[in-house]
Amino acid sequence: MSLLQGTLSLRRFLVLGPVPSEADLLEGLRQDAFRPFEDGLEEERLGWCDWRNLLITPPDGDWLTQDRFAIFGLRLDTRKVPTALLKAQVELRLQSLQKEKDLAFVGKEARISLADEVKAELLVQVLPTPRIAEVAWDLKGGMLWTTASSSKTQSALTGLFIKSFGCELQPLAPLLLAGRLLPSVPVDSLMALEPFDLTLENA
Amino acid sequence: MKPMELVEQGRFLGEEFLLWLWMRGLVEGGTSGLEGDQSACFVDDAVQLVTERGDVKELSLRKGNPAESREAFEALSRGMRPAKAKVRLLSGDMEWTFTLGAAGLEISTLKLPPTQSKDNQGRVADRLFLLEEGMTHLERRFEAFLTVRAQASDELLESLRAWVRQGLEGLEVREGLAGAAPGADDLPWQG
Repeated sequence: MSLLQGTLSLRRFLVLGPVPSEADLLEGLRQDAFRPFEDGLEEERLGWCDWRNLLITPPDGDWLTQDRFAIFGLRLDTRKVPTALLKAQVELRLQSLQKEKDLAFVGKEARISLADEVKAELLVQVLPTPRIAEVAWDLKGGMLWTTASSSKTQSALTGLFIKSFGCELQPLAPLLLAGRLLPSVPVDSLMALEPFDLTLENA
Repeated sequence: MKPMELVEQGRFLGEEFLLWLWMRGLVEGGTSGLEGDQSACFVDDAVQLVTERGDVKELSLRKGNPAESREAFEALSRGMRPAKAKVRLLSGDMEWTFTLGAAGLEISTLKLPPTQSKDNQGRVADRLFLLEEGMTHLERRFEAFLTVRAQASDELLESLRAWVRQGLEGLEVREGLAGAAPGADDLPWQG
C-alpha cells in the first residue's frame, strides 16, 4: 500500500501556517531526518525519510517535489525485547550476582538497575520494526495527504510536522471541509444544525 | 476548539452525507444534480450502521446488495446511521472505489483508475492526479449536500424519510421500474 502502487488508505489534513521555501523544507527534513537506534533503552524512534526507500535519510531533494507536491515519508521504528526473554535473563543474572557476591537478597533498586542493564544489552540485538507513513503535501493548496491511518501515527506526524516546518495540521473532517468548500455558510450555523432523526414511528 | 472535538461535532454531517450519497445512488442514478457534472456515485457492497440506542449498536452489511436490502432500511428506520460505506465513483471510463468513513471523511482501501506510466515519478504524478480528480468529484457532492442541508433542511429530511419508508415497504427504489431502466448508452457517467 503506497502512493506508488496498490490500494490506499488516506487521511487528509489542512496545513495551517506559512509555506516554507524549498530550502527551509529541505532543512526541516534534514534536521528531523530519521536516525537509527543507538545504545540505550529507547524503544521508539521517528523521523523523515525518502518516500521511495526508508533507508534514504534525509529524503533526496531531487525526488522531493512533484509538481506542487512535496513527497516524503515518516519512518517510525519500534524495538522491544520480548518480556519473557527479559525476565528469564534478569533472573539468571540475579542468581549469578547473588552467588558471586554471596548475597542472600538483592534490593529493589539494584534489581531495577540490573534489569535496565540487561534490557539495554538485549535491545542492541533486537532488529527494529519499521513503519512508513507517506506524506504528500500540496504546497500551493495547503493540504496534506498521508497514509498514516492509526491515531498514534497521525499524532506522531502532527507533532514532528510542527517541529520541522512550524505548520499545524488539522484533520479535514466534515466541519473543516465545509468551511473550506462553502465559506458563505458559517461553520457555527452548521454546528447549530440538529442531526436528522430518521426513526419511523411504526418501524 | 480542539481538532478531535471538531471531528466529533461534525460527525453527523458525515453520516448524513453518506445517507445522501446512498439515496441519490438509488433514486437519481448516482448523479450529483449539478449542471454539467457527468459523474456518478453509488454506495456499493458494504455498509456499516451504528447507533447508541437499542441492543444492537453496530450492524455490518456486506456482499450482495446491502444498499437496497430490507435489513439496511429497517436499521435506518430504527435510527441507525451509516458510519462507513464502500463507495463506487464513476466518471467517463474511470472508476474509483473506496470506503468512506463518516466521522473524518477518511478514505480507506482506495482503488484508483489504472495508470500508464512505468517509471516511479510518472506513476506517482499520475496517481496524485487521479486521487485529486476522484476527491474533486466527492467534494463537489459534499458541497451540493451541504447547500441543501443548510438551506432546505426540512425538504431534505422529508425526502430521506420518504426514501427510507419506500425501502422499508419493499417498493422499487431505483429510478423507474426494471423495464424502464436506462440503457448503457444513456448512463450519465458515460461521458
